[in-house]
Amino acid sequence: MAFDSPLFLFGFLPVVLLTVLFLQYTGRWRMATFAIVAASMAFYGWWKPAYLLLLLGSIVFNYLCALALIRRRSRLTLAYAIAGNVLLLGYFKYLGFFTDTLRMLGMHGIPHLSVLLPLGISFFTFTQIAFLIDTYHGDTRERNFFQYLLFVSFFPNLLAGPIARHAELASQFAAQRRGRIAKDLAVGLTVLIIGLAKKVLIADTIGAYADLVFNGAAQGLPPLFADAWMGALAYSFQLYFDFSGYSDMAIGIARMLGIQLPLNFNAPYRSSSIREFWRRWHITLSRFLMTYLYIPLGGSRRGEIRTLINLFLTMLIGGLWHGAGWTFVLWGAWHGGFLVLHRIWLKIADVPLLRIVAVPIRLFAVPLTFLLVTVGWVLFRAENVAVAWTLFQSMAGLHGFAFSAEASLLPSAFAWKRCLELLVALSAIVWFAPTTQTFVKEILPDEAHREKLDPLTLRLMWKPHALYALAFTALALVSVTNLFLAQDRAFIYFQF
Amino acid sequence: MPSSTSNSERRYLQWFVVFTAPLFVLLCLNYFFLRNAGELMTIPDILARQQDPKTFCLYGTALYGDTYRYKLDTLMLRRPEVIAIGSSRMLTLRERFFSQSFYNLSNTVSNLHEGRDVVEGILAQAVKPTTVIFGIDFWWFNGAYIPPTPYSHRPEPLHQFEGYFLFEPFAWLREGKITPKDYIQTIIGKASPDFCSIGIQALKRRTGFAPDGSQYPFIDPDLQPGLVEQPFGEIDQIRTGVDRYTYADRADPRHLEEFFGLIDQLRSAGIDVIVLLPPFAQPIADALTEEKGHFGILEDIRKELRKKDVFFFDATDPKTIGSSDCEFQDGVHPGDVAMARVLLAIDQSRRRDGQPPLSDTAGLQATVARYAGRAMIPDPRVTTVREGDFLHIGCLK
Repeated sequence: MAFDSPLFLFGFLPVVLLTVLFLQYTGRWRMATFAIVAASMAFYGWWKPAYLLLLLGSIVFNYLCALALIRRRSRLTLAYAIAGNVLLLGYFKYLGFFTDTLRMLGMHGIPHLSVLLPLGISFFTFTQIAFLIDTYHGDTRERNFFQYLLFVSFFPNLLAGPIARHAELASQFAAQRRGRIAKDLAVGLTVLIIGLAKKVLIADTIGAYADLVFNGAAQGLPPLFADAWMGALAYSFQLYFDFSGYSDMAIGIARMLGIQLPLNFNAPYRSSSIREFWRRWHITLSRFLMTYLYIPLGGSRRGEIRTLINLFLTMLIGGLWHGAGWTFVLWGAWHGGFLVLHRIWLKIADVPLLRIVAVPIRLFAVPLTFLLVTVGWVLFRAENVAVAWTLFQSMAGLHGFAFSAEASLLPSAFAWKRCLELLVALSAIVWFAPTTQTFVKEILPDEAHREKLDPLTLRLMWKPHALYALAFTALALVSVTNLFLAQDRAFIYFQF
Repeated sequence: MPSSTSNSERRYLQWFVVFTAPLFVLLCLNYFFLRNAGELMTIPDILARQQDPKTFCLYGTALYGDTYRYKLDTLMLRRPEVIAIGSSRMLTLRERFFSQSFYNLSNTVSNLHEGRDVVEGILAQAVKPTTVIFGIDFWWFNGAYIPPTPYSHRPEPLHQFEGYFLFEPFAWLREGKITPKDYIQTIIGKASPDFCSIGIQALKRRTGFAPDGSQYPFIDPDLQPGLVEQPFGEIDQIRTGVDRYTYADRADPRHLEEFFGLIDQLRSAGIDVIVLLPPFAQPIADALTEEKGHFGILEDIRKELRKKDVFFFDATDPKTIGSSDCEFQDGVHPGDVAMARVLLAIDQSRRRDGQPPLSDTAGLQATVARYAGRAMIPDPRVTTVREGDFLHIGCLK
């Protein structure tokens, strides 16, 4: 059940909200929590009831391991617990990739093995690994199984994040939100509508153009130079609005239930370096990789060379986490490589001779970063390495140039002008429009996160007024109409 | 402060409800519009109404179109002696042309896998027909246009009702497909008192499937000259070799094998099979002849059919049946009169082979003579609108 499915929006969510609100309004807080857990189980089991057992099994295993860690802080127990999680993820997500790779290396006797990937397994596994490590370090403690079950299975962020830490949510689950139900509902509903509009009106629209180019390349139709770049840019924007829209919806839904999820997205294409990009894109995953992988690997404490290796390895694993395929490994390597280069650059940019080069690079840092990220997304989107290679060749002009609709490879289907207009409009939103958290500041966790705003943005910021209610009702109606009339497209991050 | 903050948010939510309420009202109206138009009827309900001998209902949906299920279920009810199968190019073969009971099962086949679904559907009937007229399109055999793939069973549609249906009337109103007057009249149940219609297309345009499975096309009496940009637009595709007219020298042997397998299956069940290459309008047939160097597939199909010893009639060129462009709906879809001529020509061939005719020959000849030069044979049960020169090619109608 995707957040943008009619079943969720007009069936599941209203029923859950009405039930929880009724129970909270009448002071039955424990029952309300129970209702959220039951809803989360139904939400996950809806896709494949059998995999609900897998989720529950994983939760019970990690809960027992955490209890053991609370009782006795043992490195061995932690290692066993993490290995259990990694094995589970490895079996369901990487078995097919592993056997295929062995077959590719000549071991033809090995059969192709693959298992249907349980939804959200990457997310709930990482959430629990983080919990175990936090428990080991004494940063968090949870003895109440019911609270732990709620923390892991909380449906707004169960399938595709944000990856919350236990300490962030535990106190909220325990709290009673008397006197702020209306505010939570108003803020949550607004953010939910913003997310839905991003997904349905923007991501799905621009995604059609990306599909044309990438699917064409997959079917052996190498795009020309301009088509390939438009396809890559279209995908770059599709992914941005898809994931940003998903994150907004998750945050909005959680907020309607009284829970504030961590921010996951902060205008990443405005970054002036790859390092900054990873502080703005999928913020909670970056935080996980930094806290639970990069730092345990040694971080920057073991010399410069080791730091560079750690950086690269962290991103390589991050890439593989996104998908079991060589394109994801290469995508991780692409980002790891540029993080390494960026770190080296920071060290040498102050050398007097290089200052002449450094000035123009700093001047064009934002578009340059965006360009590198966009090229990387080709690996992320392509069906396999061969298709990605074809697209890279096209982007380098090796399959010919085309700058007009007449010369395009896809003249009838590829609405060139419309795509170009869309890309220009979306660029304006991506680089100049206020982010969701700037517009609805109520979803920011604290004052420290607030940016300095110009007077216009300050005037435009969301307020619980009738005019905003009218504007958001209209936006919701347009989005819902499109949702019903348009082709069904799943959230991209659901596949991870 | 906390209480005033809470109050403003409460008011915000109340405004939301107030602004959203009209949508629910509109969706309810849309529901009644669709229901009254017959768009939400299930196939059994449609059949019950359409196969009632006291009525003549056209079924033309704008939403749910499982033509295969609808037609196979009708076939089960009607148990005809003669069946026509094929693409939309076969849809103007009508029961009144025949001397025996007839059902037009076409518009269910656009490739040979779908042909197999239909043939298996016919063979699964308790009462099998005596004759099947199998209309084929040459592009079904083009491996470059339809790559041969392993057969997989036709998936059953999951839903007959989708949520988006409730929003469609907004789009139709915006696009001018229905007027606000149509919308209101349908809601209050006063849309088309003179005719029996199921579905928006039947209600608004008098187009759809008749009880005999044939289809009545839309005749627009208000069509102005110049609105038809290219009555025979396929010529460009033939010249450039795109889409259905992708160049091919030969028929793909795997497609041929699948097709002849279907013929054998029908014959094994004791069914007489007539293969028909339906007619094109003259400019299309001429373009195909001029480009025959690129369309060797047509001759190859004829050659293979002759080798197979199957009765087939080639009406590709309308001259063979004495038809003209004025008897066509467009470049590829023959009208009633052209199809009546095809049936007369088939009967002539059958007589030469010592087989009985399928039609009431004298009656059909008289009808053809009376309506020669028109696409449609007028039927007051469908429309009282007189056919005009809708192709704008100078037809005197």
